[in-house]
Amino acid sequence: MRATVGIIIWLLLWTYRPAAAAALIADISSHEIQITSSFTGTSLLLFGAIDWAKDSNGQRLDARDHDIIVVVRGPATTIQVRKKSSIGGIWVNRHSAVASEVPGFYAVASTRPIHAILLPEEVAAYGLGLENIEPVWSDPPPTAESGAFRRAIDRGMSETLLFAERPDAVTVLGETLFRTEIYFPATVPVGTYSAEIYLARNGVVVAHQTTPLSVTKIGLERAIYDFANTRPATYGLIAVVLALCAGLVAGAISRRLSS
Amino acid sequence: MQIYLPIAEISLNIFLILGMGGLVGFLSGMFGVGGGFLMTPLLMFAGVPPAVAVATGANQITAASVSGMQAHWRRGGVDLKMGIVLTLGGLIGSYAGALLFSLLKGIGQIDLLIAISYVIFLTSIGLMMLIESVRVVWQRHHGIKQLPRRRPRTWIDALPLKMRFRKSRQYLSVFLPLILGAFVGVLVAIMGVGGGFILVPAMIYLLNMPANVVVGTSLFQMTLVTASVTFFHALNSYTVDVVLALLLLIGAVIGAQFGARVGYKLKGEQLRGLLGLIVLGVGVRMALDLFVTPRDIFSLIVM
Repeated sequence: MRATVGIIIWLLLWTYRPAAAAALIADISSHEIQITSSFTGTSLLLFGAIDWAKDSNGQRLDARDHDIIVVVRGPATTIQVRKKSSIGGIWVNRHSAVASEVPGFYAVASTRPIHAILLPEEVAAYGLGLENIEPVWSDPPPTAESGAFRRAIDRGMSETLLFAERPDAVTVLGETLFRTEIYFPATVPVGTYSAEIYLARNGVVVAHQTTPLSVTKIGLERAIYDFANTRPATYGLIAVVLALCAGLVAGAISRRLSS
Repeated sequence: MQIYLPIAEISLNIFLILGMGGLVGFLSGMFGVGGGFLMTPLLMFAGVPPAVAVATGANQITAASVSGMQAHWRRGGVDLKMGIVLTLGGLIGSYAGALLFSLLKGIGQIDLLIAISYVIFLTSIGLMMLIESVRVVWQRHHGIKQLPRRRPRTWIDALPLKMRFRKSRQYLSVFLPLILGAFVGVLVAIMGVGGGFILVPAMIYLLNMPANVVVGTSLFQMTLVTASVTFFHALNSYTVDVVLALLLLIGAVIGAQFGARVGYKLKGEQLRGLLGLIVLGVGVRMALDLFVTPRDIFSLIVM
């Protein structure tokens, strides 16, 4: 009995081995998103090629068996989730919970729905898809409602396009080239991102590659942001003086125009 | 044309920002209110994070108020002595309000407090102003003359440290404007408003100040109190967006000039009636938010 199981496992491993030889080469159209004053969100093109190896019989692997999954993860952030309840007819934020270690951006694109591509264990092992984002509750919700609070994060983040799951967004051209576009909305958080590309076959990941990506503020936007955060007293004074001057100047201009 | 705001961290249409500033500025010039009660909800509705909306709103009200105040100053419409006393109270009040804010934030019900304060103050004051102006119009229509009366003597006159306010034609205890200023200062810190919608009626009905110095003096107080609140927010929460504030105030100062001109053409009771209607409208709108079942009972705050 034991021997039979052993043989089966050995056979399974043997059949998978050639697939692991297929390599992946991928890149992004830009490794840095620069937030300037005209930034309204942007799309990056993520593209690559599958380097087909031949299997043990010298047969070229069939591209139709393969799927591509692309995941772009943003820097971890902390999110407060609040739930309203009606008390005496007034809707009040009654319960709240704080989740940390939630990616500030999470986009997953694939050739088919992830569960149709991978075995559930693989999906969980690689943390793919919105349901595999595991927030760490630093202020946990009521236990009976943890599911609802968890789903609220997905819903809220998806509404602002910071979370996206697009199961048909990766297109394969010919049998080797693939491409997808990842959209970053204007509210995209700054920080270091990672783009992960997975090649899957027969329900398991056979190759993957990770490439870095960063979102930074540049120019005047960067200067103002840094100034406000590093020298708040000076910044505050300037904001006040600027408001007073602008108000007085505008008043003077309009008086001259009217006289 | 979109512009990215560095502190709010969102991108907004530049004409939307100018338009919001213009609308609020128009009201500010016309009624002598800062318009914060409208500005803060408008900014939040446009997607600006609440904390940034409150702090940047204060910064913008500073500009709009100083612009409006200057116009009134030229017409002799600012009682400097009264304004300074109100400001001193306002500074004490805004500091106390900021402390109260942190305290309630710790308990976790700050949002409810803000919403209920908005609803109570806006609906009651809006209603009062509306009723009063309708009453005046009704009396004039029916030929009922209301004689100018002296304010009846009450406990207010028994307060010590009386001071003469020549321009306001008042001789009253310094504690009265000081306490009024402080009360408004608390509201500035908690609600992110200029407080004109409380200050103006209080100066008219409580202090019995002549109408021609009410607006200018309240703008004087608001300029200085919102300036200190802006500084306080910049120091503590880094939430003042100067780019947003500058754009808002460009719209606001233009709007304020038009507003001031329209304001001088209207009668006092018409002004109060109109302002009452707008204040009441915002109050009712916010009350609806409290009572109507929300689309999603969950909400997120990314920290």
